[in-house]
Amino acid sequence: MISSYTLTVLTLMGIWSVAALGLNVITGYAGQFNLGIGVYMGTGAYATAILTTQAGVNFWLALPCALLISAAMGFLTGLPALRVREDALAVFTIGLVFVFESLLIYLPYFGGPVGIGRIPYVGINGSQLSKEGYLALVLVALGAVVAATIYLRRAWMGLAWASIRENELATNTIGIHSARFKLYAFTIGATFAGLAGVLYAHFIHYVTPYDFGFLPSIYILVMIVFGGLGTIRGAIFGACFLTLMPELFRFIQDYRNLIYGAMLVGLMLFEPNGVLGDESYVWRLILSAQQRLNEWLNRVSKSRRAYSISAAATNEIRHKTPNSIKPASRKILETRNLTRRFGGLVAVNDVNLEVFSQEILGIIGPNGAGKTTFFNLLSGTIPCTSGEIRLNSEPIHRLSPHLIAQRGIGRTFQIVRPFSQLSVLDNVLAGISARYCKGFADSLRQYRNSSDQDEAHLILEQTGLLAHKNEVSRNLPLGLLRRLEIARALGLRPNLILLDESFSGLSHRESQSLIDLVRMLRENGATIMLIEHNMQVTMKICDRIAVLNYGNKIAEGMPEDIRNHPTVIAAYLGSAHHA
Amino acid sequence: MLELINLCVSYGRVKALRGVSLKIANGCIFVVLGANGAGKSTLLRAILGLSKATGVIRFDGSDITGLATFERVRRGIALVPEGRRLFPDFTVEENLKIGALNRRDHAAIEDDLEEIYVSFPRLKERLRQRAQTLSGGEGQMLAIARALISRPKLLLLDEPSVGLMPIAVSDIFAGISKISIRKGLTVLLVEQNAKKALDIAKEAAVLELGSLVIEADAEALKSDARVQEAYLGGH
Amino acid sequence: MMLLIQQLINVVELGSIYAMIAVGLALTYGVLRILHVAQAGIYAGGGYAGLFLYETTGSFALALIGSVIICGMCGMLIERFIYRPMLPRPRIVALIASIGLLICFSDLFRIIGGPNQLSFDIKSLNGSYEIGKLLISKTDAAILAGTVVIFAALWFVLQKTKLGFAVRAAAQDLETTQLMGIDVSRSVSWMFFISSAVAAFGGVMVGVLYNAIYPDMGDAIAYKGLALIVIGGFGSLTGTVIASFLLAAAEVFMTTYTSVPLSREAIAMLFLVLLILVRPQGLLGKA
Repeated sequence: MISSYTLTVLTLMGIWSVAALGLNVITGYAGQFNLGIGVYMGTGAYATAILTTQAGVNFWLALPCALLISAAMGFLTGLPALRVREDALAVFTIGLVFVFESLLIYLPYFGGPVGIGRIPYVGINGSQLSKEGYLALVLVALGAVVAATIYLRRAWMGLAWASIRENELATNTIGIHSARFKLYAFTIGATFAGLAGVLYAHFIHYVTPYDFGFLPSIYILVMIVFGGLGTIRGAIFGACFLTLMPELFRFIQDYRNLIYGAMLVGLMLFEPNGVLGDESYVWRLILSAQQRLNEWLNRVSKSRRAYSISAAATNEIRHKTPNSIKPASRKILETRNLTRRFGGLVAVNDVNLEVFSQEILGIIGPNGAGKTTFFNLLSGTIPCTSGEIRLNSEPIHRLSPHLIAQRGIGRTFQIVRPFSQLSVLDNVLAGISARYCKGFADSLRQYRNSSDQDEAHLILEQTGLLAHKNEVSRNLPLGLLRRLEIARALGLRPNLILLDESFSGLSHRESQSLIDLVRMLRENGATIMLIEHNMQVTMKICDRIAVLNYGNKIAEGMPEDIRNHPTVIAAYLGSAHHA
Repeated sequence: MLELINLCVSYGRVKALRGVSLKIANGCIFVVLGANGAGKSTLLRAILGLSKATGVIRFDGSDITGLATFERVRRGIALVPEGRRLFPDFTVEENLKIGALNRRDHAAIEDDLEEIYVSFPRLKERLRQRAQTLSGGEGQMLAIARALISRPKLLLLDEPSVGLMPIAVSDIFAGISKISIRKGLTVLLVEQNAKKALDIAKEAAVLELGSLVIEADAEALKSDARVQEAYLGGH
Repeated sequence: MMLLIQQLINVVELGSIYAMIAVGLALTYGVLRILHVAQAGIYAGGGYAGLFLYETTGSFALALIGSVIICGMCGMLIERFIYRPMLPRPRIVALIASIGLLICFSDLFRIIGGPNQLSFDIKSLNGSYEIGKLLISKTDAAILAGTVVIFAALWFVLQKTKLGFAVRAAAQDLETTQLMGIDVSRSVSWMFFISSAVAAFGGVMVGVLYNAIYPDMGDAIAYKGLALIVIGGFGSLTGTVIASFLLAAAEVFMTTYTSVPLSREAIAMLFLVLLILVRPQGLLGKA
């Protein structure tokens, strides 16, 4: 028989775990600082309190209503939160929680500072749930939230969140609308937190504004950081430990907060990844033990089969690539009088350029000539000041980056922007995810064990990354990171690929094999534009070259013509080369 | 003046410098050529301790390897960084003053400022303007002036020609050359714009993927076929 | 008329106190990109140290100076041993540590000084001055004078000394500041000394003004301070000071002339939430 006290502690652990998992979605998965999770927990708690005490609604009807209201709260507060980032977002959410607390106190409907009491017990078939029964209910709720979290993490949506957390700009350039997925994270996280609020209200039987104010919000944040940000085990461990801690330290109750504060400082100094975080000491110990166990098991049984792509799948995927539909030498991209000013500086000035399908077009020019700005305009990461861009004769210069990417323009970055904490395979899958991330329902489909795995593996094979597919991309050398960015862009099945100095910093061998890759992509039907300083590479692989200088296009033509073009020589190559 | 022995720098698993050794004599203008990503900026950053390096750096007769960045600067090394890195909210005058913050010889600072205004008259016209309002060429002049006002023994320049009109590049290189000759200033210049850089340099080297591949007299290098390729970024 | 003048005095006092916290936060954020919540703990610590020193020495001047120096050094230690090792880490790490510190501070004050409000009554400041028809309490006069002195000193340090020059440069570009031969870590240490000292000054002022010192007196102002630096435009000192006085005015006038159903804490936050909706970069921040 478990004592009533133990039951209370266990139930509270469960409730806080649910709340922590809600915040984990927003802050751990999508990477959005939120110091005001209490708003959503409070919304759920007050909603059920009002519905059951004042409207006389049954708990089982009040529960879904309260969850809906919490979700709506998450959505509505998420909208303004999209306007700010990082620290400003953190402070903004602090603001939200104070305003929320204050509204609960001063608006007439919420019972003022004393809150709402006499929240009824939960009953099933007319009989009131016992303490054991309520604990079971909380555990069922926790189980559901854990299952939902695991499901979301393995869905395209979870991959989109991870991409946003790792690099928001790159996420948009692979066709994922980051703002939309941040909103989803706020809404879903708020729903989980709202569930925790409902469970709390029917357990304690009264709610006050201070239960969901700033400090409780911080406690929940501390739980997930303490346990390990972005992990389910961490959120639950943190919630349980920090609920248990005051009980454990009862004998030194006077110093409880002092110890709590000091523990936080110490943990952040010595184990900032949290006790069970992915990089933490304890977790690495567990992982290495698990690995040793696996090795031992493998020696006992037969080894696991490696992933292989069926020939049929390969064929099917090859058919999906755009080459099969395209006649050669069609104009696919065109810029007209494209201009971009930064204050007084004209970075791109009145550039007219046409790009034909299946060609490799080099963009060269001295540093600072506006080449990268030109690419940024094409991919929509910065808006143009005037002029227009047409892709397959449709104007795209007013579209946001994710829409341009969805229309088939993929790009890489001069300073690589991989999703560094994700594996190589997941980076490529993230590139594929755009086609599932246009709607809510599609993005809930699972990305592991799907036919897209085949496509991802094929891309990895093409780009020569198959051997590294399970490595965390942060650990790759530069040459492979550049390939990885190309592989990620290929997930879009792009018509046009923009390569921004993909060859710089590569060894002779690395750039030789990258040349082969670029040529192969062209054979497969893609059109390629590349910015390059390495003239040998440019001359070797480009069909045509355009030269920018001070934002102006000063020449365009075949490599040999460019090499002997007097203006180009004067501006870029230097006259010594002419001799 | 400056001697590097087996300097290595890694960023994670990327090796940016793989054992660079070189010697620069007092009063010499030394040019390091190389493509983007060859490690040019890393070399300069390592000399100043901004990038963590292994190996030995000797400057002006003493080992400075263990010193913090600001101490190396106080010994007489000044950097004109890539992208100028002016203090955008400071006025032109404040940007110059902060370069002279460690000097106590106020009268001499005034003389040096006058001298700078003679070389770069545009700066004098814009003394009260905020640095972020300057054009590219003016900004580069200010960055160089800010480095010179500390009266360095060694001036490091990181691609001063980036984003400048050819005529401005010529002006700036001519200015560097003049100052070096008049004051006996040692200069280490890293550049992509090989032609103009080699014109003012005495000695030169080519950096490729973090290693020095050629090191010779500047005149000799001008006609070297390998440099013709290298300064265009070839391998 | 009398009421209006008294309210203006209140606005100036409250605004200065906000500014004393917020300027330090803005400096710290500007240079290190850390949200230094624990600053409010130092502010409360200033109050406690001031009270303790006043009761032991009997001299208010000595108490003020002593408290300012002790808290300044405390700030230096926090920077050196807590924030500096965390600089390469994600920013949430320093924020959580700072919140932990604030919790530690309030609990420490509760353990040392007891959970109740302590009275901070300066005998020599009882009574008031009569200027024409105006009646100004000696406390108000002392606080206004002290505010003028501290802001003049702060302005002097930031605008006229090498240290201030270095700190303003570091806020724009930390690395390039080192390239100017400036020992940035030393400058940052001193910056923490100064901003902590100013916060402690604010703590003593508040204690005297309301005749009360209590353990969590820093809590509300900690989060208001954060709101203020966002409202002012992250890192903009002028913006932060303007925001401090605007907020003080809003609080004083809104609570007297209107019946807004919000606590004083929430007014600042409502301010913040509304401002972010129309101007996410803050009053004087850059887009």
